[in-house]
Amino acid sequence: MSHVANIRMSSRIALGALTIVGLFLTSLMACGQETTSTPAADETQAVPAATDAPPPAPVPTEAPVPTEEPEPTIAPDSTYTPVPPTRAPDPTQTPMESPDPTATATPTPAATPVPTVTQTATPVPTAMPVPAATPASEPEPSVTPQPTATPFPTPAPTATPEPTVTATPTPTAVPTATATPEPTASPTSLPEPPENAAPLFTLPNGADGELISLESYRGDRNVVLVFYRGFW
Amino acid sequence: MNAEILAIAVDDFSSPTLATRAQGYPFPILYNKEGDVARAYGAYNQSAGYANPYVFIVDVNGSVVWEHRGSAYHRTPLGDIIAQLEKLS
Repeated sequence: MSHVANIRMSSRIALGALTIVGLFLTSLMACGQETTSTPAADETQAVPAATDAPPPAPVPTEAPVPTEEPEPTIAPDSTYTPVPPTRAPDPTQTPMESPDPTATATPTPAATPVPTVTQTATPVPTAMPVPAATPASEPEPSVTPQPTATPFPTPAPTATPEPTVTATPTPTAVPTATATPEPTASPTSLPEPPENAAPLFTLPNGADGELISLESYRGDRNVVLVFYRGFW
Repeated sequence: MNAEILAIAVDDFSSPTLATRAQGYPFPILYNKEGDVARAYGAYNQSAGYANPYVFIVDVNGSVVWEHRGSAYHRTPLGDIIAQLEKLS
């Protein structure tokens, strides 16, 4: 019984695949006839449907063949063409949900559409975690503002110690007071010798012209300097 | 008394007359025609062009320890000078 059921299922699947292929070809033919009038605009529209697109690449090779064969016969199917595209996205969803193994196993002859679906399916899960990550990232910034709110109270206490630091200028005033006595002590010791120091000189003796220097008496004798008028 | 007398005159002793006079004193008579040394001691009379009768005592360390800023030569206080020199000796 199971073999009979399998045979029936496989036959149905094969018929479905054939109908899909036929409809696809008829749609391609219809598109080819229409594109002859406005090629550029249709190509731009074909690109968005290109997610199915890998087939279009082989299409040009196969397209000339069907154009010759069954255009009139499949013409009624062309009215049907809108349906398969709607179903095409359906299989993309079905592999995620329903008994894909049978569908994927049988369409292997039409392998080109199936791998494309699996590839589109893989980006879907990737897209799923992306939105999950975005909400995850959103709460993170929401967390960051919270710590920023907590530091604000901390600077407030730091601001209060700052005035205490400004109170430290009192020690700065102290060194200024200490600095004033220091200069007074050092200048008193240094300038005093120059003030009391006798200006040095070397002058000739009026009697014999010998040069006599005040410095020559230093450490030897006291000196009495007497200034006189010249004419005497 | 360990002291030496040095007389400084703002005059030109190049003339033989003044040199002969200088030789008659028991201490050197130094001549400073430019008057710069008298200016250094504040003894130069700018208006008159000669040195005022000032007396300074310089000790063995080269410091001025006593001074007399007089106005007349005949009033030089010899007693005070001797007293200061006795203190230093």
